[in-house]
Amino acid sequence: MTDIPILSIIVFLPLLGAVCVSFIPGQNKPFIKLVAFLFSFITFLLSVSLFFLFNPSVGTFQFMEFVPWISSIGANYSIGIDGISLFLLMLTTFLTSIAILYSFRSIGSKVKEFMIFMLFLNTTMLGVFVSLDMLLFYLFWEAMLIPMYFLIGIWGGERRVYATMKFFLYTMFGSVLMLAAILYIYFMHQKATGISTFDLQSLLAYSTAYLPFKTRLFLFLGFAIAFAIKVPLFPFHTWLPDAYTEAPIPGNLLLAGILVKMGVYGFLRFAIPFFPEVSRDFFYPIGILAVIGIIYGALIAYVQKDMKKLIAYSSFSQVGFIMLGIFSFTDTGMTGGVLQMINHGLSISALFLLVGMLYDRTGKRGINDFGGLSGSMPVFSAFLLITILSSIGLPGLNGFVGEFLILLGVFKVNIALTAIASTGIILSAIYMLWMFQKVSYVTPADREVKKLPDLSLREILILVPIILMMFWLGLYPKPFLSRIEPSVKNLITVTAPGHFVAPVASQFLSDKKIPEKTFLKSLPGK
Amino acid sequence: MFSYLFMPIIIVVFTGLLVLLYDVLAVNVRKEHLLFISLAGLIISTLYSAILWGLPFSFMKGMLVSDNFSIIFSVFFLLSSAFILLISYTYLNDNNLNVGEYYALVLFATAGMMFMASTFNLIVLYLGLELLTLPLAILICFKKGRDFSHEASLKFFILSVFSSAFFLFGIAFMFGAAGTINIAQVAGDFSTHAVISLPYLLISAGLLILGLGFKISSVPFHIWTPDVYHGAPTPVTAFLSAGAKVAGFAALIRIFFYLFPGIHLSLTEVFIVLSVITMTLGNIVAIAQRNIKRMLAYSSIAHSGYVLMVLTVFTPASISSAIFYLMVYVIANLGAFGIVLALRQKDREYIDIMHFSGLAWKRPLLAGFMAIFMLSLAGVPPTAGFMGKFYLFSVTVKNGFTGLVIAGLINSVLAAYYYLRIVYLMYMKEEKENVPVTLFPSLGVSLFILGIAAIYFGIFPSPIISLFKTTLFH
Repeated sequence: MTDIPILSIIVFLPLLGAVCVSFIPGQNKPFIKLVAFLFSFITFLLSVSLFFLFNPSVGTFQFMEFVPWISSIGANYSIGIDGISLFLLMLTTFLTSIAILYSFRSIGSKVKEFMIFMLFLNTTMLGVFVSLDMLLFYLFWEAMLIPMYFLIGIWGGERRVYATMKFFLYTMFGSVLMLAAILYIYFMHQKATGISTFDLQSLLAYSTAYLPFKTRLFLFLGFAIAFAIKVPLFPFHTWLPDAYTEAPIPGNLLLAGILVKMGVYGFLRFAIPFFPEVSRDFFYPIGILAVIGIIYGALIAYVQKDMKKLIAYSSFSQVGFIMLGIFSFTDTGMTGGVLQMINHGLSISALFLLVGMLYDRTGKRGINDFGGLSGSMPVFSAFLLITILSSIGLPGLNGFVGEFLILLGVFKVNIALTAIASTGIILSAIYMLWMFQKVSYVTPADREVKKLPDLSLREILILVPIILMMFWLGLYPKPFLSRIEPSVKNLITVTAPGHFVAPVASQFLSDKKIPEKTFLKSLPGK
Repeated sequence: MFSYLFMPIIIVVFTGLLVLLYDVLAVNVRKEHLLFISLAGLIISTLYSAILWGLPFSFMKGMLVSDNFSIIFSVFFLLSSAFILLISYTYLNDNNLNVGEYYALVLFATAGMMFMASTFNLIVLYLGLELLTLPLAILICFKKGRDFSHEASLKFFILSVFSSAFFLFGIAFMFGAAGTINIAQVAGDFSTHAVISLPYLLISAGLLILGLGFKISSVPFHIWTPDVYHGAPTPVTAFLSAGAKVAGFAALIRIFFYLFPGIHLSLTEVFIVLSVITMTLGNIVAIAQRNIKRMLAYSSIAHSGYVLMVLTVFTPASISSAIFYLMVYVIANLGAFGIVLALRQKDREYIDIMHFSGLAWKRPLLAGFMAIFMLSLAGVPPTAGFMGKFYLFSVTVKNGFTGLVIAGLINSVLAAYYYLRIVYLMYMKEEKENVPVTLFPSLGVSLFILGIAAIYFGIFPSPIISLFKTTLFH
């Protein structure tokens, strides 16, 4: 498309920023903040340019770059994006800028190290979304744990060390299973074709067409557990309450806004296309787990007294919808799922930001610690209301579009699950509005609360872009949907039964080497 | 031609003698001259080895050989010894140990390791082993007057002799079975159906594994490791964990790469069991350690277990991945011991893991490097440790041992816990006791080089992997 490796620039610009920040003396906090923000913001602007350069009529990968990396084992630096990763990429750069802007006030100590880790985290997250090489993907996926470990562990709440250790070990456990699965596919492919490669497309075509079903089942589980831990899907969610509660707010933003999406993205990019039949068979197990998650998360959220915990569980609950939509294997459901990833990213970060802003003022987060904020903090209350309405899916705001599409898609597959999942929306309305009512209207026990200052200009500047996006996505989602849909359609075509026919399957089964050409003929578009 | 082949080893031995003589005869002995002479010897020998690259030689029917395998390992030993000398310099001064003998013993031990890597003859290999063990036994109690140092040395010496006896016994059985102690010849004879007694050969292989298992501290031959690592002066511990262990692996690979395919006999199950118990025990016990040297001792046991994973099947890919893994392990381990050496004042060392508390906010760069070394040992990308593990595991899958890989992967999650604990202490815990830091130029430079290497090989492993892969045993 262009000669400028724009994707690489976007991915590695934050890393460059981290290096720059590391050379600034630690006392010069304002300058560190400025430099860090500028780097993240420029990255964001560049990613916005992708939105316009992106060709919405194509469902396959764009902005591809390819550089040989470890030639002896067939790993390459191969990156590119499609409609699904485009928006996740933009969401990442957007939320990172917001998180850095927010942290100007909330992070008082060790600012330099904080910014370095934030920018490093940004690079690894972006890397996950653009990698088209399994080894490269895994490298970014695992590397991401390091900065997150530090962010929770250094700047987190009281039980931060426990939370961060749990997060790290839990995620790493899932990842190593995935690594085993990746290696297995890699060697099966190498054994059959004689080509060693970690290239996503080649491995994908091979595994869908030639692996025995039982093997595929195990490999799918290897991937699925890794991603289900990240999502998290019930019952792999136990790291989430700890990590969310203890993380600093900017960390929350990236945890809930993006890290969680990586799990879903992993399903979309790897687990589903690699093992379409198995995935289809897993609609019920995963769908039921997702629905359990929706209801269970909502019920737990309902009894929380700590706002941050409430949001943590509501996030867990809403992720169930995304999973449900994606595993419906209908284009409406899947498109809705992808869109809902963005919606969820926006609304959950706005909620965390709002709670963080209250926490900055009072050092408290209990629902009962506040009340009557609509009087003392009208702007805050208005933002909170819009965010809550978006999060519970009020028509006109973003949450509605995604949830509606998801339920529409799932409805075509299974009515019972749709019905149960829908009650999750009602439950979310109950606990969210209850929280809003408590915080904004009920007269507070503590008189100090009445004197809280309203949002500052910086805080408004942080929130306004998110709110605007909520309206845009709610009222006119077409520019987004038009870019997501072709990729989703492409995914559905690829995962349709019998898409990768196996004309030379007998040769594969007999473990003989076949010439590359014969094999490549069976790939789409060749 | 004779001297040409011998040159790298000869240079090292002569440098050792030169250092000794200089220390005794020179009028005004400047301590840094000892270091410079030794380093010069090591570097010249490294360069000489590099010249021999790609020119395979064999002297007296494989009594001494120079092939790419021996050169890779020789360079490996020479460089790690050079780093050991660099990181130990001020430590020696502060403990009044800075004498020529130290340098000479390190150099002699290095020569022993080089012998171990460059022979087909088991007796020469045994001589190399002893040439390594005796200087090490002296080095372990180099810091006089400490009881546990002496205990460590004695323990090491006695168990070494014990394991050497097994090794010798193994050689004797080999001779009884095959009529020769040249392993290449044993394999050759076997493939041409010469008369070889298979049961005796099996006993021999078992005894050889036992003897070398001690060197690489594989479970159940590991009991000496924690005590000796703890009792030895820290630079010597680093030397044990880097050089001595790798030399054991060099010998193991050399012997069994030639023996296994030749005798159509697989000891795969033996190595699987050794591998799994070694890494599991090492990792689990390491979690309970409060002393950083003991923790690293158990971690080094665990790492031996990982390497044994690929040695279940001896293919060129297995060997190149084992060498690559050993390399990244040594880089990170030398670095970690370097940091341990920095936490000290004069002759007092701070080796409790709690002494790392809050280091990050006092010495950010030092703690940053320690974090890199720990993450590399844990195998988290983008460090070299990840690439090492990745390559190792991928070859093991290729060899057909997916279950073993899963055991290894779960182990690496276990291991992440205790490596991350150091990181946690450095970054997330307040400093309790004022721990002094003694950083001197040669240590700083070494740490810097090792730290950069630990990242560099994690991102660009390609050249070095192809070097190991394409030119092995040519």
